[in-house]
Amino acid sequence: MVVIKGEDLNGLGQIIKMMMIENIKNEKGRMLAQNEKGSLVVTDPNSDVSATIIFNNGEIIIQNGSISRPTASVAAGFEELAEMSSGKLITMAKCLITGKVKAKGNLFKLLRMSKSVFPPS
Amino acid sequence: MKVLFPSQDWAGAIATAINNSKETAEHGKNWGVGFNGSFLFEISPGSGLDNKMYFFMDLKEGKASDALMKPEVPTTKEPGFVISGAYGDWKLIVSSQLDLMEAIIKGTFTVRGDMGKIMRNAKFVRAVANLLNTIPTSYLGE
Repeated sequence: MVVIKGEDLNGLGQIIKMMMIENIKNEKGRMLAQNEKGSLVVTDPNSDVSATIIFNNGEIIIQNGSISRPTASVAAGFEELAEMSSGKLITMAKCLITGKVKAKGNLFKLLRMSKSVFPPS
Repeated sequence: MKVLFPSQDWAGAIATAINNSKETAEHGKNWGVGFNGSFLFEISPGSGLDNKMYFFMDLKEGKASDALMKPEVPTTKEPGFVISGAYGDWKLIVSSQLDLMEAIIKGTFTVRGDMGKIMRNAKFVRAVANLLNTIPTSYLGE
């Protein structure tokens, strides 16, 4: 079972929460989220708005702002997040390699956690 | 001649702009296919607007239809997406002083609906947003 928590979220947090709720409706997305542990900070550099997603084996907490020392962090604007939301690993990797999306921390975990956030098309 | 926002004339003008746009036709060919792609925009009072206004527009395959602007929910059709915000902020969007995507990320506007579909069709949503300031517009309270 996957539980997604997060109240009074900023727009970015709400977007992430809505996408994750959609994502766990399918079994693959649910399994990914269930087996994940770590934290991911997403920042929109244009508006400087951040949200943190904390994965704890099926319990997912979304909160405003960034935490110190997350497992991974990613800085991406709406369009870049949209590209990543294709859910394709190759697209996500391309975003990172071309520098469209700036990432820090454990990149392997980042790609795994991103797949839990963005529903596959 | 400027068209008042909000008004039925403005709703008609944006629908025409969408239907004449090559960009929305290109990026929106999958929009509304297999899902409800209609939007209801809720405009809260303030900054010259006395009462709430609603703008409904059906969007499918890059084309707009049923563009209706009224002080009550203008149709019994269930919208696929609802975007809500204050009139003062809508003015900034329509006049291109504020980016719609940025406003959604900041939480200035709230969105109800499948955000994944919006994200996967971001180029279409962006193309529609880019058309908002192509209509010569006048505003309440100015």
